[in-house]
Amino acid sequence: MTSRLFILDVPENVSLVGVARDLPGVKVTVIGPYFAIESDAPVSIDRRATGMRHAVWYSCVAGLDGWRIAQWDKDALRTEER
Amino acid sequence: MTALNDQHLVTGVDHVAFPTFDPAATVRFYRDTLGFPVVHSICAAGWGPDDHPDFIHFFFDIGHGDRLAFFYYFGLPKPDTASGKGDVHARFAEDTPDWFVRSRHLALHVRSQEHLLEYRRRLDASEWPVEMQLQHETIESVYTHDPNGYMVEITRALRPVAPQEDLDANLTIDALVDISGPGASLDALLVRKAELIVERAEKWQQALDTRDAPAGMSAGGASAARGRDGALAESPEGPVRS
Repeated sequence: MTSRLFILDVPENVSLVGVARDLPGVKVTVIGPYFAIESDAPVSIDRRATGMRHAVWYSCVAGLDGWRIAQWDKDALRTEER
Repeated sequence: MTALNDQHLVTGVDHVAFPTFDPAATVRFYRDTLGFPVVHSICAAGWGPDDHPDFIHFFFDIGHGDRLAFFYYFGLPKPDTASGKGDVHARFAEDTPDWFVRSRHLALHVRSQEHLLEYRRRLDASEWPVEMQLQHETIESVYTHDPNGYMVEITRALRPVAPQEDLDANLTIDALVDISGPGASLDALLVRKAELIVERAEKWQQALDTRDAPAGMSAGGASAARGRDGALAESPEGPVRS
């Protein structure tokens, strides 16, 4: 089943969405001013690849549809099935 | 119901008031160091049934017509601040986490880095140097504690608030209200907020595009909202600040 991670479209989040878009099996769609990172399998986004610093990194997720967050630390944001 | 029924009528902070046990140092900090003018004061004899002491209520201009006020009560003993954490109004046990003690603070806004650094310069030349300077993608702030132990932040935004951030804030708070109670968690909030995004985000974008586009045209896409300003009076989420 496809799950979604919602990210608000603000300048600080653009790099994260770019990294997610390049992950295998991931599609990025738009719903209003949000990006939806969609996939049939859980995703793992590397923080360093995004270039995001901590304050923004730890507040970048706007919504969880389907997944739960399994890891959200200085290294990665990783989802898993509920 | 009146014509004012749905209007947001307040215009800022008239004053926020704190007690002080050291008015001389408080004046040195706010007036002589930061340069905030004294704009009002009341010298009053204590009255009433509960043995109210004589007091001075004095006000500093913190910009925009807003004011920071203090009460000094003659003869009132200063709380013991030798141990524990906190300020002269709120004391906490030594093992209270700093993030909780610091959560209540006063943040004053400046418009530029030049202005922020000018206040840093004034503080660093005083008895109350900057304790921390912090910058991330969206804000830059300096922090210190005033002579009463109150944490004071001076902050600037690195970019204007985008309209979609006000939508996002409203969805967050509606989700928080929905899930608050025993067992509330960030996970539960993000799940509820996702439902609200699905319900409302597209409609919000359409309202924004309709307002901003030339007649008969509609701009699409998430990025269309970025960087726009102006009130969004017709937003389904209510008035949105620019």
